[in-house]
Amino acid sequence: MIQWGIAINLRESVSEIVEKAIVADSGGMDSIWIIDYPAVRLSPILASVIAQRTKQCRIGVGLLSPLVYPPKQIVQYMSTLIKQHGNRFDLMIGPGDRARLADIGVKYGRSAKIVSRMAESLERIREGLTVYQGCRIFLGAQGAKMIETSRNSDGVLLNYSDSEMIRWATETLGDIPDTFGIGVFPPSLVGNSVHCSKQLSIRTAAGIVALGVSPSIRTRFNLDEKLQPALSLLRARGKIDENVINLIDQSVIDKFCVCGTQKSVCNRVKLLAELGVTIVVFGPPQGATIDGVKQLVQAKRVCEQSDTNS
Amino acid sequence: MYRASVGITTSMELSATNWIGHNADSLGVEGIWVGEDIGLGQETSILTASLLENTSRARVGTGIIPISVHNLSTIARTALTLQELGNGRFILGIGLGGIQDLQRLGRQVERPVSALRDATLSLKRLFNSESVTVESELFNLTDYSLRISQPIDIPIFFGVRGPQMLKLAGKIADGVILSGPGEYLRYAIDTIDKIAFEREKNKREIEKVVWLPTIPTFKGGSEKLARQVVALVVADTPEQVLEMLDINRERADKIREVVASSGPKAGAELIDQQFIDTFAISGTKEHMVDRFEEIHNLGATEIVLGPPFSGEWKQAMIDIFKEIHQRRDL
Repeated sequence: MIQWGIAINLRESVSEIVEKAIVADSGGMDSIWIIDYPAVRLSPILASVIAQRTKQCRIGVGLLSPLVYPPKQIVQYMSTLIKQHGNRFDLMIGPGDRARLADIGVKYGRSAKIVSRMAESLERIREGLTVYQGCRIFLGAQGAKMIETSRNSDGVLLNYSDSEMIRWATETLGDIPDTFGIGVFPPSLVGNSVHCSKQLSIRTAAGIVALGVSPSIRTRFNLDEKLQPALSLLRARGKIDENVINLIDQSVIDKFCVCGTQKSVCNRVKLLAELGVTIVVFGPPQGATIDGVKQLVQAKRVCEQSDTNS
Repeated sequence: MYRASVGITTSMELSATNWIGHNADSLGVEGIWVGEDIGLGQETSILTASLLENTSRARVGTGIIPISVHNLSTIARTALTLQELGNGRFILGIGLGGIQDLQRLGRQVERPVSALRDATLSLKRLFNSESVTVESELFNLTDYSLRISQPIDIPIFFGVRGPQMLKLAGKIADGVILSGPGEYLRYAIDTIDKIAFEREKNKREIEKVVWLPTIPTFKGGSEKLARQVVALVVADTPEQVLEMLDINRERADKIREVVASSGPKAGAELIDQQFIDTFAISGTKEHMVDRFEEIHNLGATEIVLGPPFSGEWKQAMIDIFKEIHQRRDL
């Protein structure tokens, strides 16, 4: 059965973050992902706090970038969490956001090299966590090379939600073990009064992902033309703002997010399951508010109810 | 009166650090310091978080996080998170890292005083909710901020030894974690106080935390382990500090050489009683607490009962803290 996860970002206070986690855990979410971002609270610490205050959910840590945290340190984070709280943790690694890494003095390097650096880091982290069999290591991926590299991990997390793109990603993966997790981690907004095309928060979150897509993916999925006006304005302004986002066609936004009513999202999740997806992590802005967490919990219940009825 | 604390390191067993965390408040432990053995054992920030969660009165600090092996943004974020978690009980202890550790990692810092100064000033600005752009030997930040709307008060302590570092601490730190023989401690505290006296703007007194290896012989502590720890301390003591001491320099140099080439176990063979007495506190609980009081009289504001923990160390810790609090009651 497909697993439901929620991503919680760490911009709010520790107490608010913990409150959201408790709501998600007691509401039956399968996993809570603690997003790491170079400018806010540190995710492994929050993962520890959340583990202490929740009972059942798995806790995902990441994306942790090996460019910021050396593999040995990532191993130390995860092994300490597991020793202290038991086998409840998963990890996602990936390069991270080039611009944000530059802000903290971390060089991303040439794109051609980044895949091999991630592969090397993945190998070292796996080696370090060999004794902790239950800790799944996911690779955050988008393009073909990174997806291929993810075969050496326990699963892949894709940051798009479009059926065609996911189908292509699973084909790129080829033969994988049954235990391999195929996850999607798109920006999300679920709720009964959500208007996807008008809500700036979800458009912005999805727009940022769309604008960060590699040229090869843009070409492969015919996104060049539709993204060009926004990319031109972004280049001119040097930052993503509302005007840039407004230049992105809604059809493109829809490829990079999950948005809608509880019922429609339930249908979307079922469609993703049919494509082979085993885990959906509902990314920001869903987890930005307590109400967002509650809405998602409710959506999961609606979905389970419809499964029972059918 | 001095604050009585416990020091632990990341390479200690989880069961030991958990025991300390669960019992600290009831034992009257007023502070817990977490020393990072670079790359070894438990991860520093998670261990510190766990101690903050399991205590309600004791201050918990890192003693220290080496700025030479972590991105400064990670240190700032760690501090922000732990400060919130501890409701003001967290202290950020930073330093360059132990000489032996840095050598093992092949890390060389060309201008250590400037590096620590730049890191501290940048951290203070980040905690003051400012945006920071800085290029330094160990880190670069560009228009970087912690995205906090209000300044946060996180005391920054230094784990340092050399004269220039002590002066820097007197100028910009909120506290200093010191380690070394009595003669050195007297010198270090005088140096810090002299500089701090000239520092008019900051009214907060600079705290002087003294962390020494403690070997309670009354509860079967392992002398072998104690010798290893003292060998490591000798090896980590800067040249300028060794020169101040009335010790067998030839032997000290030999210890440093052996530890660097073959590790503290091999260095332990060269540790005699004089070195133990100079670099550690050992003996009965009464004698040890007497020594704590002597160190307090030198100007230390906090004394840390540090590893190695061996033999019946839990009972020894209980007895020592009981002795400290009984004397206070008198």
